[in-house]
Amino acid sequence: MNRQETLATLPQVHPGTPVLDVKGVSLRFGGVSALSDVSLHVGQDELVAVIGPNGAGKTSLLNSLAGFYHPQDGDITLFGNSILGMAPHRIAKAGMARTFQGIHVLSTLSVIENIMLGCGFNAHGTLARSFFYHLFGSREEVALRAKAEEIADFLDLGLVRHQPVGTLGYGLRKRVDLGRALALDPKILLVDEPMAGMNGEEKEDLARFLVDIRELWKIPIVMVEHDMSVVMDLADRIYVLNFGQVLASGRPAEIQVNQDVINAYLGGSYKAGVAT
Amino acid sequence: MFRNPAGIFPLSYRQDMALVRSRPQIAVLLAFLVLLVLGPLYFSPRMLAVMNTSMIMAIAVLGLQINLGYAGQINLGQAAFMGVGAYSGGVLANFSGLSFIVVIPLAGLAAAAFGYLFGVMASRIKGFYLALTTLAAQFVFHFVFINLPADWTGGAKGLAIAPASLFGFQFNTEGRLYILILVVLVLMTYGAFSIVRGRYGRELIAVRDEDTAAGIMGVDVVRTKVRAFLLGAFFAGVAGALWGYYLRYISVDQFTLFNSIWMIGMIIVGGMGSITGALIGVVVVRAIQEGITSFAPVLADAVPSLGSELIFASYNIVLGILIAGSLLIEPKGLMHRWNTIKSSYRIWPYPY
Repeated sequence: MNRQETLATLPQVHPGTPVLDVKGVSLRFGGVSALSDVSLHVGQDELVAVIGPNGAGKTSLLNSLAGFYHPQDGDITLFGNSILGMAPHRIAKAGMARTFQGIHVLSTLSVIENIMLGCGFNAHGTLARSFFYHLFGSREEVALRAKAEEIADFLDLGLVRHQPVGTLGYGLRKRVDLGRALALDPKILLVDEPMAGMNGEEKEDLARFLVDIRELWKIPIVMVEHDMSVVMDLADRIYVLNFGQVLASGRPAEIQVNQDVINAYLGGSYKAGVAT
Repeated sequence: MFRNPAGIFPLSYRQDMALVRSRPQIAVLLAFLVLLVLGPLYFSPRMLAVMNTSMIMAIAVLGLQINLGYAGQINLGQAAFMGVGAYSGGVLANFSGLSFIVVIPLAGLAAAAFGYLFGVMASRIKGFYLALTTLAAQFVFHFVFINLPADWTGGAKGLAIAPASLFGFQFNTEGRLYILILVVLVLMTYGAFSIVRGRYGRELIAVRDEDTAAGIMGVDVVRTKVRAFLLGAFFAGVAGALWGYYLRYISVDQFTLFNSIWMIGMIIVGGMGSITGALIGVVVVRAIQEGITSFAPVLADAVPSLGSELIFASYNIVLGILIAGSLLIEPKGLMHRWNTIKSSYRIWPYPY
């Protein structure tokens, strides 16, 4: 299935309906309250950033969305269907893909195989049929490969397609992680600190890819990020978390002048357009 | 790193994903197969017997490689799975009189059903605890098959099995059995390659390398672990059924924990996560075992004070040395060393 067909099969949502809706989610680990009554929504064609100091609950939020953690209260809906309590692979199949803060790629597999792993989530061949590669398995493999190549092309990974991911540099590995997430045909993409540890050039590349994913493929993005210049430039809306609660939300220009946010996170000396 | 042989330029995805990529490779593979098929013509009787047991063992080790090397699910019960296959095959053949063509796959499925139980457990526990659980397979197998009614499985006496036959042709000599076992081994090797190169293989590797993150990659972790045990036990069951047809007599003592550990040793020597590595491991370890069997009596004659238990004792010592040695010297196995040599040869005379 090529990109255009994928777009055509996207669920038709009412323009006002959010793709992802988080309603009053609370997550506790024993006595520690990681998230309390967090609500946020992401609309079609939106890039939403989640920022906040360390320990504010940003990654806990992403993990709850992706099904790693199961919040005790509240509800999370994707296109109106609750995904709370679903296993991670089911949430992935429902259309939520994410990249990781650390690197979680299969380092022994090649770049293209990593992307093909993501592509295979919806394949139909059975185990018994895949026993006979030339009779049954190869056609499906070629189809997965073609789809993976499309993504590798998009992310400019063609030249390293056969290299084991473990031999690649950090920036490229993060890009493979992104490619693997895109291979799931996501209807919404969560990216956890995509810019962490990248140099300036790699940040620019990645920012370009994120913008392209959003503009060309119309995939809404939720981004957790500490690099304020990236956040302020890319995000349509920003949610600020602090101690597990939503401290503020709004457009970048509003967040930059919000006194609570400046006190809690940005710091008094923060000025718009200056990297922190 | 992966490199094509010089002068090979794939023009389609299918070609680019092929395992045998050039004419010389095809030629060498075919020549090797022909050499194997003609084995009974030039092997000595002892060599033939060693080959037969090794090839049966190789099928079980292929299964273990998928289970342990690809999916990372430690399994100390592969011999028990093999035993279940041997007994189900034997009982099925004796009572139903079905042809071995049907019995062998059914025995594989019976073993897979037994393996399924442990796959389900693997979805909850991992590592050390899983190893202990699969250890139980060994004892459950021993206990169950020795205590089943003696007119089913022969109990402690063991079970005699009629030779496999096809349209009146009996596989009752070493040479004939060699061909039968070789055909099954080639088929199973092909199947193992097919599975690990495809989607299921990547899912197994995802569960091995990124247990927690695999779910978010769209991999059903629980089902993949179950699949790993199903596959591993299926291969073991097929091997077990062949073992029954080969020896024509099976008893629970032929499938001990010791055999399971030898199989793990073969995988460590050959290389985790490589089908060819599994086969190489079997060849190398079996060669060493046979070396001991030949050499120990000579040594025992020369130095009588060593005693007559030398063969069995040295088996244990050598197994220990072998596993420890390969973990120290080449932990990724012989196959990894071979791949390193191959890729440096392909770019010769350049260093990288």
